[in-house]
Amino acid sequence: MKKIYLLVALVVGIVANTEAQVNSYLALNWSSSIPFGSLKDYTENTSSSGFEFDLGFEVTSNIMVGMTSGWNYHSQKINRATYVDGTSSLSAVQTRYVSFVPVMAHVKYAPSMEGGFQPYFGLAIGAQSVKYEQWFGRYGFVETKWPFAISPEIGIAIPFTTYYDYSGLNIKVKYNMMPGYEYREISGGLSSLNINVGFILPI
Amino acid sequence: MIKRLIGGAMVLLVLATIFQCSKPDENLSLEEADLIAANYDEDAVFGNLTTFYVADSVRKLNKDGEWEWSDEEIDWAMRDEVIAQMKSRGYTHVTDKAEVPTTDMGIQISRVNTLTVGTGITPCYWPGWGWGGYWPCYGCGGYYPGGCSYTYSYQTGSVLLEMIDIQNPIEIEGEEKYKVIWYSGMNGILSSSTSNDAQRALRGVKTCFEISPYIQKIN
Repeated sequence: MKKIYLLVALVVGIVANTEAQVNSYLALNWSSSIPFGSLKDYTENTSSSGFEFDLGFEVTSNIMVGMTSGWNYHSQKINRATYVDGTSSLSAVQTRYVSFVPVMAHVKYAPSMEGGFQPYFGLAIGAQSVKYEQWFGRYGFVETKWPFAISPEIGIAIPFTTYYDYSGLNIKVKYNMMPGYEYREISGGLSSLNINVGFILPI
Repeated sequence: MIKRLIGGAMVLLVLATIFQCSKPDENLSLEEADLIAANYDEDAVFGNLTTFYVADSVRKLNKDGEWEWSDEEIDWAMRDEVIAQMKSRGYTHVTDKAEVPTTDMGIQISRVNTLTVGTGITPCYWPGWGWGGYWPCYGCGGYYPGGCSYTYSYQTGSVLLEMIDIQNPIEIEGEEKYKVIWYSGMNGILSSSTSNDAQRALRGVKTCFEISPYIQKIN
């Protein structure tokens, strides 16, 4: 939790030390992640402990570009079981974790920047740091990879005032895909559906 | 603007990356962290074996890396549990040392440091060490079935059970040795120095046999 406070303090500091301009923004979102496919097979629980931030600026009146990063985390504990491999067998409690840190460029398109609610569509492309952990007791496998990632999204910005100046509530749904990822018990790529809720601030 | 965006993003990225530096295994309780492993020689035919002898003392690796005999209550409790488990699998317990040369299996219990290595689906941390010369048969030397290689690490409080085939000694480098046909280790199970250690150790011994269903005499 201290890390979250530190992150928020830093973000606020950046915003505070920057001249307000209507053509750039920071979006800071709480992120919930629902696993799909082989990620769901590996860690079936929905994560609600992630966060995401977008930093971007307006290219035209309808198009914004920028960078996306954040953190998401899936975990699962499997009760004590016996694992057999040839002549060897192992009794252990298994814990599994997969965490993501995206480093992606994004482009967003807002059909209309006039007035109230601002629906938008976006696409982020880049890489994600994927940390795979599989623990048997206190012994485990840990591997970090950087697979290619692509994430389409749809969202809506709800302005604080009667006009939209990149300040408001932000709600979006994003499908996170890393089609080339494979490691140990995960094959066929990683995918998850992220539901993000937070704020957009002008910077 | 672009420089500011990139700069801000990099700072945030560094902070976000910090979140990946967790140590999730610390979330486990002592009991949950217990790791119990077993391995056997695929040439061993446990169903045809009949008798077993359990060394009358548990040995322990001291701080200087030398073996000494251990004489704590938990040692005797573990030995009794091993005997009970072997009897429950249909084997006959030999209690007279003089009969050891005609006994099928010898079992030694050791309190050891553990080791580490990995193959296969598991981290494969099989405990291992060269067989010492204390065994009541003939100055035995150890020979482990394949699968893992062994290196020492120094987590104390682990327990190792080893079963040798007394009737089929093999010669390695001109020396007669006894093949370890089964071994099972309980990692760090006596490391907490709590009153719960005894329960964990006895539960661990039971688990050693539960994950080794092939140890079963066939009538």
